[in-house]
Amino acid sequence: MSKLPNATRDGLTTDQQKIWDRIFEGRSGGGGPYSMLMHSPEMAQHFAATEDYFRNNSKLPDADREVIILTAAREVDARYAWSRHEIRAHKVGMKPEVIEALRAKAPIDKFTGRERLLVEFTRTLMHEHTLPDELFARMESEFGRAKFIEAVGLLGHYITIGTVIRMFDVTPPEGSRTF
Amino acid sequence: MSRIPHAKREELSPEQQKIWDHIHAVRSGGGGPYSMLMHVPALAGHVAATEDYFRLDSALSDADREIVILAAARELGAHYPWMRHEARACQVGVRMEVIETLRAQGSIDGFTAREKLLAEIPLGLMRDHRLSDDLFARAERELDRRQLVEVIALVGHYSTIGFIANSFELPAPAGSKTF
Repeated sequence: MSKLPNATRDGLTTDQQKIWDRIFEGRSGGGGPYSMLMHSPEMAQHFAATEDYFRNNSKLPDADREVIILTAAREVDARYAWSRHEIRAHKVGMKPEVIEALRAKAPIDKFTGRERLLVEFTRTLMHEHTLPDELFARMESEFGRAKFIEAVGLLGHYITIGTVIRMFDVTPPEGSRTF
Repeated sequence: MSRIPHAKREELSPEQQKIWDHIHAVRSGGGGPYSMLMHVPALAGHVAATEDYFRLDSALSDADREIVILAAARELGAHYPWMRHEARACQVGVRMEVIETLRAQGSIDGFTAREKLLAEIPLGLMRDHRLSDDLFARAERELDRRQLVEVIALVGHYSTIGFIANSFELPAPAGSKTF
């Protein structure tokens, strides 16, 4: 049970129900954090639009995105986000040993250089709130300006999502394996 | 000097220039996080729309919001957002004592119960990604459901803004006092 009751479609205005339908149409697994965010529907739609941007229009490739998201979800123990993105990570071809190492917070020395860089970037920005010069330089040379900015924005978005999940104890769908 | 150059309006397509103009219409003092985000105009548009929601349509009062934002910016060490929101906090009547205490990361004993709550929520979320039972209970007493999810999401939004400001080392304008 989450700490707040899920928002329900019934209590919404017609316009808000349209927001609800748009958000839940594209999301399996019961909506998770959006079942909390939908207590403020007009706000929720903006976070969903940002997320849809990353999913559908991002310059950052799918596999790069999922490394950032799984790393961040694991760092904040956001089980719901982990469960959804583990499925997605498999779909976009992330190697099972990468997923398992992230799950176990195990050494990442078997990762590709690019995967390692993304994990290091995510953990450093989350914990230090800043990037040392050499890590900044590696990110810029690996990704270029636009993808680098997207990586920072994506991490920020999933901090929001992870925080909502943790704050309200949003639980993953029954039977999910997380960590 | 920021770590990467500011985006330039004249290098954007007409469609992207509309996003630029929309963003700048409600923001004074260029050079902020949007000067970086506008290297990815569509993403900048979504992030700005989220921020505009908080500014214009939020269930939180202006003063409540500015306390949350200042506490978040201070915790992240994000100078540019601190500087903009210090000015705004003064405008909307946040008490000087609150601003100075947050700047100095001093003791919040002199805050009202509501000021305390609003300062403690970002710190709890950023340090532990959740709230203690006591803080959660206080938040639920003091805020209605919509305000509660908006506070959490606001902290999340300013994590994104702070991460952008810090990753690309956005300086506060010369002569501004931050921390």
